[in-house]
Amino acid sequence: MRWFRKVRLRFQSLFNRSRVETDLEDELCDYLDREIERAIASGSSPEEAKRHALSSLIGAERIKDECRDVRGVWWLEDSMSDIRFAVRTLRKAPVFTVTVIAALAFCIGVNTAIFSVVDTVLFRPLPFPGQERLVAVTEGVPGLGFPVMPFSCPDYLFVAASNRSFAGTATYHTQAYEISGAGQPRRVIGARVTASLFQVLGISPTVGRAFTQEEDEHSKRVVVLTGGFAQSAFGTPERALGRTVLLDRTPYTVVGITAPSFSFPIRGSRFNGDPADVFVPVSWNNDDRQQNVSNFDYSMVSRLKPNVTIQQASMEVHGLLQRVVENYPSKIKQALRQMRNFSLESRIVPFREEFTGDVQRPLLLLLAAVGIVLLIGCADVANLIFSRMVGRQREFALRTALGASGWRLARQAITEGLVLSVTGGAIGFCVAFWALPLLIRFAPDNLPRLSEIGLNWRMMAFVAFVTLAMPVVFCLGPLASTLRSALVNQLRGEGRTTTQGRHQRFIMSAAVVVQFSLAFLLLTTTGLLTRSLIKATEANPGFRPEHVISVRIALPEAAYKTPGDITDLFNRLMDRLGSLPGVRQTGAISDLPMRSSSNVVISIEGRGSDIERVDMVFCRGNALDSLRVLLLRGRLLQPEDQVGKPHAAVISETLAKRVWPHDDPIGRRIRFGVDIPNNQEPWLTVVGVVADVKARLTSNSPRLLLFTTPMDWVKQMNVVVRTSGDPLLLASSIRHVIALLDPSLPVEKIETLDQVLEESLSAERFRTWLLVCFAVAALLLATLGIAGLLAYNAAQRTQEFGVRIALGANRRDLLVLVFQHCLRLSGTGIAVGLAASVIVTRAISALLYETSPLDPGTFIAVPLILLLIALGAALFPAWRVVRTNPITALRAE
Amino acid sequence: MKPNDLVQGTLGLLILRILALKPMHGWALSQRLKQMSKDVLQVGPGSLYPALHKLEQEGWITAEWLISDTRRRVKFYSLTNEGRKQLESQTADWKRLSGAISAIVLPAQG
Repeated sequence: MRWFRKVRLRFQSLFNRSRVETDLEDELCDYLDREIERAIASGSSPEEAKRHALSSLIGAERIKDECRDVRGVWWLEDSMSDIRFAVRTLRKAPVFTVTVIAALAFCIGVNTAIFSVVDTVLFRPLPFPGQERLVAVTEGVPGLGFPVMPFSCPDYLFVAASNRSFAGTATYHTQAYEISGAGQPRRVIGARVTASLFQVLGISPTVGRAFTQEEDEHSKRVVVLTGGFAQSAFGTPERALGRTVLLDRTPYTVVGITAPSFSFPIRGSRFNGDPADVFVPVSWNNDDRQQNVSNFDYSMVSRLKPNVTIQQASMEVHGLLQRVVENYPSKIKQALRQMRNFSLESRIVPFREEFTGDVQRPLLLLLAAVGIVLLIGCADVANLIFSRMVGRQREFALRTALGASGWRLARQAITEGLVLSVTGGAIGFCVAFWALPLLIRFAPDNLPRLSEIGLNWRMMAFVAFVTLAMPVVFCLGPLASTLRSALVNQLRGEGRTTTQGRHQRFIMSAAVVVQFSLAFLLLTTTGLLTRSLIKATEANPGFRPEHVISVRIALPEAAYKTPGDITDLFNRLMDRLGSLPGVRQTGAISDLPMRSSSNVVISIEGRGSDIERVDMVFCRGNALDSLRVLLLRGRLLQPEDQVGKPHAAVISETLAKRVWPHDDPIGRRIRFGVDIPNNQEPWLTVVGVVADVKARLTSNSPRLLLFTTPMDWVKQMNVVVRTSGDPLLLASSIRHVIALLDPSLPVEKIETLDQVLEESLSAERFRTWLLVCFAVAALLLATLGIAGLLAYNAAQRTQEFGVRIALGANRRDLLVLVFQHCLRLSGTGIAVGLAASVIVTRAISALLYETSPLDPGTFIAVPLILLLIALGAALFPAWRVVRTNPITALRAE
Repeated sequence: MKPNDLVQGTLGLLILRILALKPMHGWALSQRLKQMSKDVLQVGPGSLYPALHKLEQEGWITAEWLISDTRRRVKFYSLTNEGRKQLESQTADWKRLSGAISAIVLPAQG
């Protein structure tokens, strides 16, 4: 209760001041009256009594002060009056106030928005308990060109069973499933996981349970759904529990549902990087466990034991992988012995790095860009405050003379800054709130953890820090130097006119120079990335995307058991589509250009154990012709090249030149895997060479492509259709045809190849657009900065100009003065920015496509833009100089 | 003895002690103090009121506005439970301290 009473008293002292003051007054009067009565009672005359009593109350005001002091709220009261004073002064300068608050709100807003994205993606702890001990483990065969791969089943099992470094190990592999029995049949991402996954991550389903080790080992058909999926399919998680859903037409029982926020694997991971909707036991068969030593499919996540470092774990796993080969079946062991360069290695990284690798650099670039915008904005605000303080020198000098301490004035200045920055910060926070959903909507699909972005204390702390730190920077500096010169001027008796000292002029000019160099830096970076994006958009992808529409077909294993079934369906589908009006060619291809494809090792006939890494793409029908891949030699794959016939292959130009630099590749033979005696893969005969097709528009190194007819197990393909008109008009006919052939086959996504190309650049487009926005903002703020300074300077020198004109100076000479000043400032800024850019742009060269970090176009355009802006900013002061009337100018002071 | 000579904090103890008898207003308190100390301790308003306000802020005494028989608003101070405890501990401290000082300053009596 005590604290309550105290708080109440303090509140009273603070907010009910008049009441407290009256009380104090009354109390003292009461004392006085009683003293007088007592004196009269003891025989004094009334006058004497009064005089005596009053004398005991000498310094009644002092007593009151002391009483107030012990109430301990004076500093708060002072602050309140500071704030009131600040608001009053700021209201008297509305243009200044609005400009500063707008600049601050914008800078804080965009910084907060970008910060929360970057923070969530790169820095925030993962939503798993004890996440700092989670690591991603990979293996690799660096000698064969695969330094980092997920695990194969036998290797994983061996490491999981024999290690001493991990408290738990788990593995997962994502694949698409056709799901029915949960709303419309459709395709979902499913993860095949070991039962240990949930334990290793430290989470458990909120409804039901995770599946058990036994269920995994005995291939029980059980499934855990994500909360989000259960909600959309069944309404509530509880309703989903115990249901049977069909995955690829095999029944599974729902045993558990996770929390709605659970999302795994984390989007954008290096391997298996699509968040799954359903989790099923991995349930390896004996072949998986023993024979399939080269199926590197399974991402491994482990929890380190306490006190075990990543280095120690790496050492151990590395050692284990050297021994794992001993457990392979003898045939494989023999074959591996013949291979030079074969040696299994391991890498362990914090789990976070599984998905931050690709996005880190662009995100940090964005953060740096908004940081620059913030700095430019701060410099603006500092200069605005500076110029206002010079105008208030007389006020400060007067207050100092009246006994205000420097500290008191500083406090007043900081309060004023705080009022500005807190208002700006509050508006900025709202701006961030409005901008964040927009940012997330336009963010590229591969950005991890976007769903986690939202209001959190880190974001609040960031805003609070920026808001509170800024006034110190932009108020104290100007104040210190203003106070100094104000006193000096006062002593010299020069208080009548208020001009700035050399020191102040230097600081204000320096701020503008810094603004210009920072703007230069941001503009060049943006310019380079924009040029790179344009180059990438114009790049020849190696095929003709226009008029081609594609639909992904994935045949469930339970319904399409034999290779004949699969071929039959695809052939009938392509026939039916081919007979639609407006269709020119049809084909099917396992991976669309610009999408990832499987990277495999091939060997070349007559080259011994030499191997080559290629991207393998399977084709049916007239796939290559539909895509208009340019044929250089031989022929393309045709509908007649079917499974079972002598295998034909078409290779890309770069692959041909690499393998047969001097010979004709047509008629040569290659096959999958290493050329060792027990390799049972058939030989493929090269029948044609095509021009390179790009893996990404922004990649300079062409990929080595091998097109061939599908293996028996290829059940997922993209059916591509080249039309004579708008390909999207065909979408509904395509759905119709598919429904006729297999009514339960879900149709995922029908997209044009133009869309595929567009989407492949979405990350680049996103960051470039953001940078363009920031660059424009930086430009505006820098313009504000130099325009403000020039206008202020001109105003300061009105009198001087008046004198000069009165003495016969030519107005043109005065104009030269103004423009000289402008050019000096902007020129220095541009020079500094140029030097900085030359160094800094090198850091982003990895993000540039066919654009030099010293791209001459950019490095010419940016200084020109800045120069134009500076000259534009000088126009207003110049106009003022021309209009200066010497008489009014002299009188004005 | 002038109020300034009172050891800082001792005035607080005296006020608490007097208020422990019964609630009273500031003037009565100063009179009571004077009377109880046989005119030795005279505390003027300059010391009394700041001390009272400080004790009130500490939560050791609480104040109430009453209308006196002369129809004046009078602020009556009274001891809180908190203040009572404070009085006990401060009294104990005082005993120890004054005993110690006496033992040094007046050795003859020992």
